[in-house]
Amino acid sequence: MANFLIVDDSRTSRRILRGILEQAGYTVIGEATNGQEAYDKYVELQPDIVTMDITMPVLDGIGGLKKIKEAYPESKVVMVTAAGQKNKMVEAVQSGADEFIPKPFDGEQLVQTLAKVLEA
Amino acid sequence: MFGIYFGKYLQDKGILTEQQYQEMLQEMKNARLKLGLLAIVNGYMTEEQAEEVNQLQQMQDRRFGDIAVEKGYMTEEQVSSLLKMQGDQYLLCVQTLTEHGYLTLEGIQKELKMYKKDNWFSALDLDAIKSGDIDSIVPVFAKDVSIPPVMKDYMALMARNINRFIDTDIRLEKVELINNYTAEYIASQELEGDFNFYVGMTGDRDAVLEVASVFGREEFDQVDMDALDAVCEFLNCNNGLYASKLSEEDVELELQPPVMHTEQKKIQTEGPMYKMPIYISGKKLVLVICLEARWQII
Repeated sequence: MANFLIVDDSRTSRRILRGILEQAGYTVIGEATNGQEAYDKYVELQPDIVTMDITMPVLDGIGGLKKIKEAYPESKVVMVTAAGQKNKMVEAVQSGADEFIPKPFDGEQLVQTLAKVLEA
Repeated sequence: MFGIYFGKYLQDKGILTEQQYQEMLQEMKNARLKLGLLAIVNGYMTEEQAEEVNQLQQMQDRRFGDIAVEKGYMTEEQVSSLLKMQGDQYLLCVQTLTEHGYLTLEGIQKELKMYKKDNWFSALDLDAIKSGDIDSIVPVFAKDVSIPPVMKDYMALMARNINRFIDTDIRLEKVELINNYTAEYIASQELEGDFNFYVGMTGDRDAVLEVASVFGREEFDQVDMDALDAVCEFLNCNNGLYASKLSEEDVELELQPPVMHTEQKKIQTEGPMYKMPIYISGKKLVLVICLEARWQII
């Protein structure tokens, strides 16, 4: 099963997401709380897939996505967001986001979306 | 939902005790309206006719509606329309109050008039509360003409999301214009873009813990950083949905990361600021909103 890196500044979201992923049989090999930390952890852990929140301090999710995709174009990064603003979505797609997951989490929908990204 | 509002009014007037109010709400959750009461309230039958049908029902294994039609008291169409009303919250409240002997039908009518008068409600306001529809209820409590429409939309969205994610039994109180607000703990977030919006969520300890525990899917017994993180995340999700909605209308707002304050702080601004009390299971949550004028949390 695939290894995940969870990136979110909210401990609540990280904990809930970790629970859903582990229940689905995936392994969470690391967590980060902003875009910069996400990139550093990606380099260190080389996860199969990253779930990346958009609104975060220091460096937001779009910034983290760009850094990872520039260095690792083959990486899989799924954006996690409560905000479906058009301009953010467009920017994320242009920066290489593989998929979007809405908050609050719907466990079943989330696992299906991630499975599709992993299969692609 | 109507029972939450009217029952609280009756409690405040001393007609119901706190315990009776809570028991009434609990009972309303599982109750179904009796056809006889519906027929009386809708003017299809008199109280005497309903009582007669009730007595016949005790002797015969037949439905109330069938007997009432046979006696010529109601048509089948009227029975059919009443069956559709059996989940009506207003009438359920009436049924519960009368069955317990807290008030007669006449007494309820009198108290309803007083409730309307005391709160400066119009007939339409009362209908909105009776309907139980949160989108209709919010404008009743956010009537102040100075409240900008975008703020009213936000209040409605927040009420809907609390109703959806936290508690289905919420009670709103009147939105008030304030210039500062002091709270023990605050989850706050700023939304900036085509206009600027500042939102804080606070309230009684128990209310904050309720939001944290339900939304965070974890039992919290004190308002610490973890509990406030869960409240911040709820606020963030709500605000994300609000920004998404505006985005469809080509209004762009960017969410800043939510901030938690675990020590007593004062929110103040030079511009208008509003507070919206929202009761979840009787616990007071307060939403503080400010538009355009930047606020300070000190």
